[in-house]
Amino acid sequence: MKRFLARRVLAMLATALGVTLVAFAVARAAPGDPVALQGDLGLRAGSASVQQMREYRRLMGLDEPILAGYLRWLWHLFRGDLGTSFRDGRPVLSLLGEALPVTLLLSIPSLLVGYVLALPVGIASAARPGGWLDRALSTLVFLLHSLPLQWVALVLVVWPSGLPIQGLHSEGTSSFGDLLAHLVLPLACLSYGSVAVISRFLRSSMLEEMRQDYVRTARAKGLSESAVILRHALPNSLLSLITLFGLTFPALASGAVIVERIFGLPGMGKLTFEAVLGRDVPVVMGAVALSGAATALGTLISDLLYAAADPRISLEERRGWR
Amino acid sequence: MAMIGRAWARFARKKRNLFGLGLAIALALLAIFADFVASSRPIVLRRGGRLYVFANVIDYRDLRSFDADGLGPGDWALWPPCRHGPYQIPPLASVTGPFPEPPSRRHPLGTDNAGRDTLARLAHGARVSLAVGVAAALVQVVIGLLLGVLAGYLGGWTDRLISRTAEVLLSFPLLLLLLAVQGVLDRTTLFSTMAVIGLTRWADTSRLVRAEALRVRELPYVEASRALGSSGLRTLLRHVLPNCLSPALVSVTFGVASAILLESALSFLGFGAPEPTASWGLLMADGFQDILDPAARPLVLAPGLLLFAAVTAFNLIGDGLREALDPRAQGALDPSAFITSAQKRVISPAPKPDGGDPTPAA
Repeated sequence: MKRFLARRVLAMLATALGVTLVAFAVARAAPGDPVALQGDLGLRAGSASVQQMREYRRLMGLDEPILAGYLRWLWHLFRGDLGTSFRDGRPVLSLLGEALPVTLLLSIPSLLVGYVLALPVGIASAARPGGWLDRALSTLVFLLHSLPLQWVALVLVVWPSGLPIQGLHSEGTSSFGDLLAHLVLPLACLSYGSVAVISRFLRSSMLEEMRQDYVRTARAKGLSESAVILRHALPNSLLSLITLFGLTFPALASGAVIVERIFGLPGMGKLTFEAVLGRDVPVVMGAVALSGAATALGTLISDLLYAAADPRISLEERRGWR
Repeated sequence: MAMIGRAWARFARKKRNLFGLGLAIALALLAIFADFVASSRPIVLRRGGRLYVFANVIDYRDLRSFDADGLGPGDWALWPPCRHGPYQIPPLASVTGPFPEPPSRRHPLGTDNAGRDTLARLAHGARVSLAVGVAAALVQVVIGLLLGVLAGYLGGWTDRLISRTAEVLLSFPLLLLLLAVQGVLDRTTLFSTMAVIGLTRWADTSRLVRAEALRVRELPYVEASRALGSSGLRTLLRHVLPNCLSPALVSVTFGVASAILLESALSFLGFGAPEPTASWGLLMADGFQDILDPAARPLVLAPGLLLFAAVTAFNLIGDGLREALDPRAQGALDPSAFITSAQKRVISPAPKPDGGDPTPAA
């Protein structure tokens, strides 16, 4: 287990380094040539001044050869210095600090909603594979999976549901109920995709379990079918759902960009989007690095949870591949 | 050939596979013949004693300032069903109400906020979506196939490097990455959109191909090829690569679906197709500007329906192909279709290099 832990943490660090290196390479490619800036780009609204850009590039090591520059950037990152926004001069770290809670407020409940809704769907599908209910649910889930997120969000905005469609609070109120009402539609948008994925996953892992000997034993000793499914097959299938937890993270972060834009929520997605729009390089890099790190962490946590729940996994790892 | 026939028979056994294929073909026809569905110029025009054939696609010099109302008594025209071009902005003099216009006889789905006909833009949008989707998926599959085969066949450091890079790409929020890359570019174009999608999504293909290559390289015929003295490269190209094509084919189909989705999301955010391209994502963005105006409803909702149809079509085909090409695949909607993460390896361990069965014996 210890060895497994060490390997996973190392893998996470490697992933995080890779992600930041990608972010760094992207930021380096940003048109920072002062001449170009003065020409076309400098005229863009909200864009950085030549001096700001030059200063940032020097500070963050974007002027140096890629590896040296990257190491310098890492050093700055390590000390918690992500630079300041080109647009309002505020530290990137505090911008991220304000945006992250909003995104978490969306993504954590949406994960929960996804799991809660997917459970009955997956169980019902697996109870009679190939039956009419399974086929109906499979089709439904397949269609859900093919729905474009921005379209769903727009439909919900246009739909006269009476729920608020903009921001986190109504003008002048800050009650909890008001906040909840504002979260309903964005949550629906972020959840339907995970319902599809999780329920399919649960279905196939339950079918896998139902072929095992212990299920046959449970049936042989005369348990009712529902007891076999709910008390024997289900708990074991739930284990594998843990891994999905880390897996839905990247999708949620991507979804947040669209959902936060449409519903006007001040989270990471909106921050990134506006930073990209205004070519606010420090904020873009900070946001990309943070979401990369968050995904890596999510993967790590679910790997560890899974290994804790199912010791075969860490054994598997020890035997070998990678 | 016989293999293709068998695969087709398995594919055609399910009605929904054929439905998906039919839908994809219909959309492809719409994309190819968009000019015959919606154009500001007639397909065949007779004017002033001259006959113009395919005036909708051929740019006749005489017709540069063509006006549909300026037809003389002996003239006639064969029009496409929708008499508007996707970029056609009505002359100021003819503007009667505010834009976007609600659906009317002239504009069955209304107009956007520049007065361009929504139906025409929808039809031409199929072109953008499918072109970007297919091109990006091809880029994805070429890179993914090459790297996947190399990683699986060579193993060792090559494998580690490629797999690790793929893992980073897969565990990254793709839309954020694409947004950042497109934001860095001076100007986003359809080409850059296609390129960045293909260049970031290859990891998905390489993962599947690698697993297949790991399995294939231990098979007797590969050993036989080596025993017969063929070089490593020859074995790789002639024996391993062709046998890794079926996961690549499956992943290219799913790749089209997800590239279409990504393109529309990027265009919706303003970092994909540049204005005034008729892209479904951009149409939705135009509609979003006037989201509270009921006249913009068709502009907001219609592109999404077509997008949905296109994505469903390619997902259905991909699903059917996987079943047809891999007899071991279980049932419909295998969850691995949804899984695009490094975690796959924890969920179902990759085939062991000794060629054993990937799933532990039950």
